[in-house]
Amino acid sequence: MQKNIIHVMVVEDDRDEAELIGTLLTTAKIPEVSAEAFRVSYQTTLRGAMAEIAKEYVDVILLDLNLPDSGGLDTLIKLRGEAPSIPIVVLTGAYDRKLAIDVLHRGAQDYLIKGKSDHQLLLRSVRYSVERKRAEEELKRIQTQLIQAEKMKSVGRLAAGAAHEVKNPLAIIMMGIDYLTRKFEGPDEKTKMIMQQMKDAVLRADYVVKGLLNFSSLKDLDMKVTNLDEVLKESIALVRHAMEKRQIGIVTDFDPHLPMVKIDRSRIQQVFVNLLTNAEESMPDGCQLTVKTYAKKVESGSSVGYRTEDHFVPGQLSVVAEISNTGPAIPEEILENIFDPFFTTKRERGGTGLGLSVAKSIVDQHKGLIRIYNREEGGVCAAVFLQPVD
Amino acid sequence: MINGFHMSKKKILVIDDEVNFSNLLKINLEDIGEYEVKAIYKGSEGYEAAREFCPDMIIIDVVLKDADGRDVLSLIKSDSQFQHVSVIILSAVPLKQILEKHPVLLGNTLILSKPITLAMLVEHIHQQLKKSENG
Repeated sequence: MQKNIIHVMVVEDDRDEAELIGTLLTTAKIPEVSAEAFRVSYQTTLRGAMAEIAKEYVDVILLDLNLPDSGGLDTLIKLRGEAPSIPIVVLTGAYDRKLAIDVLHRGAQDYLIKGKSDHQLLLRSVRYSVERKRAEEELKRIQTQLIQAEKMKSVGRLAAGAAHEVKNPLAIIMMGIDYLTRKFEGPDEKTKMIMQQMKDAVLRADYVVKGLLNFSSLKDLDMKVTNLDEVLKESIALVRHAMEKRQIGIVTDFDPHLPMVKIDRSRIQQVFVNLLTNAEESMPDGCQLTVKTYAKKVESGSSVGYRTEDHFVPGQLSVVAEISNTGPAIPEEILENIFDPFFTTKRERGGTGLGLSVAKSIVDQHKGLIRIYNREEGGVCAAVFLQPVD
Repeated sequence: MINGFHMSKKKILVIDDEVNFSNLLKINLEDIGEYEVKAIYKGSEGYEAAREFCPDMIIIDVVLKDADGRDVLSLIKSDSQFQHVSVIILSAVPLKQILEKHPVLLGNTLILSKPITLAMLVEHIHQQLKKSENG
């Protein structure tokens, strides 16, 4: 069995106590935990603990509530606020029933009394906290996915019905405008302009409805073995004009040995055009856009795993198209909403909030992944992972 | 009706249960001066109206309250008199759905989506009629 290294951070100002815990963990020889090894790091203050989790991956925290720079429940609340996803086991000297309940309510995974816990109890507590937290996170992730899928489905259902009910009135308005335009024919420029504006408004409403219909017609894919580089080149050609107008440079870095993919060419092109346009619109003039393709083994993350609904297993080869810009980062608080139908930050500029959600649906239907994240070196990266042809 | 002036006009039968749309379409097309238009609002009256009116072209919506427009068309086209009549399906539902369920209709049939500008519709009417004259 492969050994997993669990990084335990002990936050305890009593050095003897901290060392004792460390020794108990690192010399563990207990069958039920023998599959794991522990790496232990020590902090004596809350500030030190926060600094460590900010720069290092920690699996579990053993926390003494009373530290030189923080005391009581407050210590737990502050640390949880900083790292809500890391499981915390609280250590304290005296048994206090109320405090025990309080720390559990505040999100601690467990509660141990110093001196009263033998190494078996300690190890079990640490391991179970890690496992419980993992299960919780996994559950949360699946719930989010389910909600997202459900949202998409209901929009699709609504779209087909709404389209008919909206397009018919639009057709009447359009015919009416054509009638009035004829009746008011003459030198009156103002009337002409108003008629044209009304026509444009009808076409705009129709455009939104068409976007909605994309949801309901996504089922019919025309899958063909394709070179992804070609599709990207076509997509770039479609947006090049807009980019040039704003002096945005496009750098391409295509892998000449890229494996072929089986895709619906026009649908994937729609995805790329959407991502390219997003990248362009979020950049100030004169910035640079990079388009890259390569083959890569997928790492774990959303939709990667061994369940039937997962699109990739960890380590599986994928064909990646990456579009990155040098523009401003996406604020963290909206990052989780960007794929939601109707979520948009550019409504005043005519955004419908459907572009990315349609893009995601299309990629999902290809059993691929789409990830959008802020790059460490600045800018935003959108990556599409597709299945290579065997 | 049987005078020289009207003889040159093409006859268009509009079948659409959106009463306001049908009426406006009739007014708009007739104002152009090249067409004589009859608008009806019930699919079930389609065949009867076609026999009476003898249209050169039928413009029909496929989603009608009392019937499926495609069935109405099949019935009309099953009459040898209208076997080659030009048809424009003008509908608010996605085009793919229409095609998949009734590929039989394809000959001489054009599918357009609502809303549409009069100019574009007239352009298509023109082309369809020309095609059927040549064919």
